[in-house]
Amino acid sequence: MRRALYSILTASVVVPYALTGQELRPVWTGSDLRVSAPSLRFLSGAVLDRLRNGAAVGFDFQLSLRAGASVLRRSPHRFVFSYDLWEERFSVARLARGTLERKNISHLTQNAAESWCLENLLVLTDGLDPARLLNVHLEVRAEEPRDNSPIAGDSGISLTGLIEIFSRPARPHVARWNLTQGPLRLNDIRQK
Amino acid sequence: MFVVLLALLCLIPAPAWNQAPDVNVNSRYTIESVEFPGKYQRKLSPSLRSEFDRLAGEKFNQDLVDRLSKRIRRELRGYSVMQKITKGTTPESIRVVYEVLRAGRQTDLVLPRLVYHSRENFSFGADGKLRSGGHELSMGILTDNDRLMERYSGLRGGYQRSMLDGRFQAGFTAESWRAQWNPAVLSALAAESGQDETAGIYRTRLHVSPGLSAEIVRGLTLFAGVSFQRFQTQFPAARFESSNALVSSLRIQRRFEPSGPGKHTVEAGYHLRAATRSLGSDFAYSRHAIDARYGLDYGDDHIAAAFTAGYLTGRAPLFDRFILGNSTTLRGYNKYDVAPLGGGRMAHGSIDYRHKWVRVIYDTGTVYDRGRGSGVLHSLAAGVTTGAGRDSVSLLVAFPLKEGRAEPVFILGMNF
Repeated sequence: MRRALYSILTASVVVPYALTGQELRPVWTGSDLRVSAPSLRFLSGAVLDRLRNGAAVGFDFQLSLRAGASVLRRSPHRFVFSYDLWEERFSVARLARGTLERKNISHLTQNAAESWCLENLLVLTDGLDPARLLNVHLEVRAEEPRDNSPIAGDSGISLTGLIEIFSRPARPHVARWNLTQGPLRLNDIRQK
Repeated sequence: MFVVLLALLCLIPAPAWNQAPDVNVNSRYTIESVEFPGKYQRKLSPSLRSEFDRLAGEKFNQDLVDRLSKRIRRELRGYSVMQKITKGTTPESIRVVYEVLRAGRQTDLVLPRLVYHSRENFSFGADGKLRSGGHELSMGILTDNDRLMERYSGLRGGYQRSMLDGRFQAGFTAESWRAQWNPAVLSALAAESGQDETAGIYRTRLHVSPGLSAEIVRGLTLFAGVSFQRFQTQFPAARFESSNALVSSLRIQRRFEPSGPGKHTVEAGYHLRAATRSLGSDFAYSRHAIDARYGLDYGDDHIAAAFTAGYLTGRAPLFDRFILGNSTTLRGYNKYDVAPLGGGRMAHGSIDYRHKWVRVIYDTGTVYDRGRGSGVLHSLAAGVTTGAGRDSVSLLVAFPLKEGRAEPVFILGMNF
């Protein structure tokens, strides 16, 4: 029973990460690791519609280094995109967190805005053995629209609303992308 | 092992992003207008409508517009509201445009009743609703030991047709209940034996009530219908009796939102239930009830003063007698201690004060029968609440204000 439960849990974690079609190119500077993903297009579909309707849309990025099941380093970032209705160009802000400073850029095309995010993603590698085999993992997740119906109405609490809220992580329209590269050694991807 | 891991995962704090208010590049533009379909504007509160005018001329603020959209969705239930920002007619200006669509077929499961009273146990109900166009079909279950002298449990359902943009409604409800009685009620009935003032207990009750309601002017609603109840009495012999009545009510609800801070709500209603033998009823009586409520919302402070009173002429079944001592009246008392058979006369007032998560309620009231002594009772309740809205959940400890030993009553639930 316990083994079956373990298999289900493992599968639920592993399967989304296996659904990777895009290429992830990591580069190691000696102190931090950065990535590029030329074919990754996350400004698309419903998210792009929301942007073109004037809304700001947040994206959570997480770049991590893993060895087997253990996460050696992880670096979460939040970027907020908006679309200038008059200039018809994108603007991106990387939000501040801890010692990480806020950065802004505007007047970008769609592709340039996507690339700028990846250029401003990094994970520190201090203390890691450059010869160790590891996987580089990038997770991108778009913020959900805040248009949920209120839970309570005149006749009482809506169970449908409650169920919708508690099942939100499983909603199929949540836009997310997972890219993995590896196993590789930091020494092999050192920037010349 | 997995439980421990999950618990540890839950304890990991989420990253704290310093979200700046001006992340939307369009925040440098000025809002030219807020456009909302005129057809639906009358469904919105005056303060919400005035927000539209207030926003025009201001710089675009994503948070402010999101909050406005949330309020619109809260007030326009059953509709799909979409928000768009588009270019304005002059450079550097934008328009906030709302589109409203009536939701097609809509299903919902609603909890109209969820309360625990330490002397009266749980009351719980759930209704499934199916809406399509102006039609609404509902079906639900309920077990309630709070509103009447008996615990009534069973099924209910109904159909309602809305016309003229919801101002006119026609429909019916059907309910089938099984009653359970507290020993205190049975003892009180035994003590009353020989007197014809109070009707006996019943085992089952079937209720069908068709009716029409119309909003005469904004906020003023008139309801008229008939109510057919058939119930199986237990004493002195098992037989079926009917209580068929004309029912009518007039209700007014107004919100006043002056330009300054504070929001005032006034509600009042009159309800008449006249059981008559001309409808084949075994009982002939009139039940008059009035209720009034004033509410003031002022920032984090919310105060509500409520008054209700009732008057019964003739001999009525137990379900139509007035009670006090539940989750909404004389909260420090138990209804079986106040009047185990209810009463034909009743008056009750309460003051309910909330500040953020703190809630304090003072209740006073009396319930009695004609020609019998009446005593005015007082109680105080205090506790915590999640807010002042209809979805708020409260936990209260209530005490009767009287001399001598008093046991506290614990009440936990919503919508009370």
